[in-house]
Amino acid sequence: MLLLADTCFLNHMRDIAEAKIYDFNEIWTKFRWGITPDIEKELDYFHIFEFFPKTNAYVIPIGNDEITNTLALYPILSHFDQADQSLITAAIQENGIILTDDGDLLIECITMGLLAMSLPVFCLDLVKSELLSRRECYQLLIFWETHHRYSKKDLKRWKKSLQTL
Amino acid sequence: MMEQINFRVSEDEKQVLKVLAEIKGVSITEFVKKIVLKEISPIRVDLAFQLLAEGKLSRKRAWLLSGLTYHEFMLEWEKRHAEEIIPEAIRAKELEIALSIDLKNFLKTIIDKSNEPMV
Repeated sequence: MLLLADTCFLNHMRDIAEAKIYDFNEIWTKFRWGITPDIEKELDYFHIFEFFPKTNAYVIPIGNDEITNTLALYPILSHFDQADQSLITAAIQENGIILTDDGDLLIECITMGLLAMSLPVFCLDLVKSELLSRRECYQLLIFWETHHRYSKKDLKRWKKSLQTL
Repeated sequence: MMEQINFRVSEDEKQVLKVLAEIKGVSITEFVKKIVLKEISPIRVDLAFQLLAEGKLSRKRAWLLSGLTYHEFMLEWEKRHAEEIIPEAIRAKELEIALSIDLKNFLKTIIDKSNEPMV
């Protein structure tokens, strides 16, 4: 099983690290994470590998044929770009977890019964898995609250959940 | 990833573009490309956030449409108090998924141990 992060998710982690709120790089390199050739192109284009080295990622060979097969089964995915379609295909094949900060992708993955989560929820899971301290997670939630990154309702839910961990 | 766009112009229009491109010292296509991108650049950010607010674009598409870096886009997001609407049931399910998964199982060291032959 692999963690399969999309471009928004990795960009968001980099953004937070560069704002000196929390450096995700150290923990991220410990994970088994995968990308597809289409995601790799996007990450190259947005220079994300300068922050999260490509050498740490497993490249899953998802090509046009695999994507076409996925679209035949799930035509609703046709409105996503090829990178996102490849990520969903990889998640189906590898039984991976999709990590995304794109609402559409999150909604579609969860509706399809795939495992998917956004960055704040991933952080809660890190706390639950004893890989991130409650204090660090709380600081992140405060950052997201201060900077209006997520709705007040969602942040309230996540703060409440953090208290129970 | 470069894509191509084709469109037709009249002979007169092409002559105008040719003269202007020559003055600028670039090809006609390069000239037209610069003009189009310059024309849309001020409206891209507003349009991206408008479509996001209307629920017609998600975060990624809005970001790409804006033409900003991710960091700049998030600064605009904050300034405009933008919000992506995620249904309550999806948020609840997302949390349920997260709390049922032990991320330690995704650490490289754990995976390596699981690949060891069983004695």
